[in-house]
Amino acid sequence: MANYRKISGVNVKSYSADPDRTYPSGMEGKLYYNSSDGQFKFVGLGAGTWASGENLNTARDGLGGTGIQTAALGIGGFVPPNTAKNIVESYDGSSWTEIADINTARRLMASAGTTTSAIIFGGGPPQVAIAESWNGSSWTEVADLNLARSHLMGAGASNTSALAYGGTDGSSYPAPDYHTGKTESWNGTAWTEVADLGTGRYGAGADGTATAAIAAGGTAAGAKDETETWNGTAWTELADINTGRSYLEAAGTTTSALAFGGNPATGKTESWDGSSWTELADMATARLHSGGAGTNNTSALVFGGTAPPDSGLNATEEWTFGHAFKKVTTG
Amino acid sequence: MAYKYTVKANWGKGFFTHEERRQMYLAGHPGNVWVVDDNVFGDQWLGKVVGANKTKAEAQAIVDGEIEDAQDAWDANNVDGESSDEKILRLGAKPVKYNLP
Repeated sequence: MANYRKISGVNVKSYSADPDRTYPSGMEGKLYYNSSDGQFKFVGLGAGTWASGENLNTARDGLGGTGIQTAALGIGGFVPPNTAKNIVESYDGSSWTEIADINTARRLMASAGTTTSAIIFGGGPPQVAIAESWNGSSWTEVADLNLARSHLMGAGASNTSALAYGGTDGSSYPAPDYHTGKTESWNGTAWTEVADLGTGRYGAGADGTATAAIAAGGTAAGAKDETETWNGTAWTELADINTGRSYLEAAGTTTSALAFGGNPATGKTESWDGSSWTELADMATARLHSGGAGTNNTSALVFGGTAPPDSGLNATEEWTFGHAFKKVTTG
Repeated sequence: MAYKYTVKANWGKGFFTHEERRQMYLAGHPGNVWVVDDNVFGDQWLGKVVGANKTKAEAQAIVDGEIEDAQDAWDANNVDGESSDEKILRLGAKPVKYNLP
C-alpha cells in the first residue's frame, strides 16, 4: 500500500467533470478525481476522429482547398458529367459562404495560402497553365506556370510564395506514364523551375510551404506510396505511406501532417510525424478528389470530392485530436 | 461485428460528432446509407438522426441500385477521340459494386 500524497507531496485535484478534450491543453498526463462519477482518472493523449462539418453549398469533386480547419477555401471543381465550375466558397468553421468566383473555371488544380491570400494554378483536363491570385476579395490572373498540367500538387503560405510540383501534362496519351516530377517555385511575380520530384507522379497528397513541402502517394503507372519532402532546394525520399494510393489529400507540414482519402474511394487517414506514417481513424465518407485544409496532424478539414457512384459530394468532415480520460485502477 | 443500417441525408454539422466517432463504427455509403455498430452507441446515434432503418439486404439493394445507375452514366459519358486512359483520368474509374459490412 502507498499513499499518493506521501509519495508525491501533493493532493490529487478534484473536478466536477472531465476536463475539456481540446488538444494540446497542458493537461496531458495529469491525474485527477472526477467527483461526479467518483473515478480517479488521468488525461491521456487520446485519438483523432472525424466529425461532420457543415455541407458545401455546391456539391462538387476535384475542387481546390487551402487554409485551416476554421478558415478554408473550396475553389472551383467539377459537377458531372463535364462541367468545370468557377465557384469559390469560404468556410469559417461553422458554415460555407460563396465568395468571388475564379476567372477560369477548372478542376484538379493546385492551391496554396490562406482565406485572405491564396493562389491557384494549373488544372484540367484539358490541362491549363493559368494561375490566379486571391487577395481576400477578388481573383486576379497572374503569370502562367511554365508547364500546363492537371492533378498537380501545391504548397505555399500566401499569394506571393508557393510551390507547384508533379501532375500530368496530358502530352503522351495513351501511354500510362504521362506524369511529371517538374517543380516550380512562385515568388509573387514569376514561376521558376527548380529540382524535380524524385518520383514523378500526379494526384499525391501535398501541403506545406514553398520551402518545406511534402508529397505522399499519388499515381504514375500505378498507385505510389513514396513520401518526399522539399527543403527549398531538393526533394528527399522518406518513409512510405502505409497504403499507396492516388487522389488523396494532405494537410500540415513536413514534420506533422495528415493524409486522408484517396482512390479507390477510401476514408483511410494516416498521420505523419516527420519520420513515419501511422494509420488512424477513417473518415465516415470515403472519397477521392476532395478539397482539404489544415494545420498539422491534429487539425484538418476535408470537403467535397467523389465516392463513386456519388459523383459530387457536399459532405465536410473536421479532424480533431482530443484527449482521452482513462480510469485509474489499483489493486 | 454486428451492424445496423439506416438511410438518412447528412445534414452537416452535428450529424456525427467526435464523441460519437470515438464510441462507434460509422460509415457512409451511396444512397445516403449509413452503417453503424449494433450496440448502445449505434442505437443512440440512430435515435438522434431518425433515419429510415433497413435490413442489411435492403441497404445493400439501395447501394447496388446507386452503383448500377452510376455505371450506366459512366458508360454513356464519352468524348469523341478520347482513349480509355483519358476517360479514366477525366471521370475516374468505372464504379464497381461492393458488399456492405
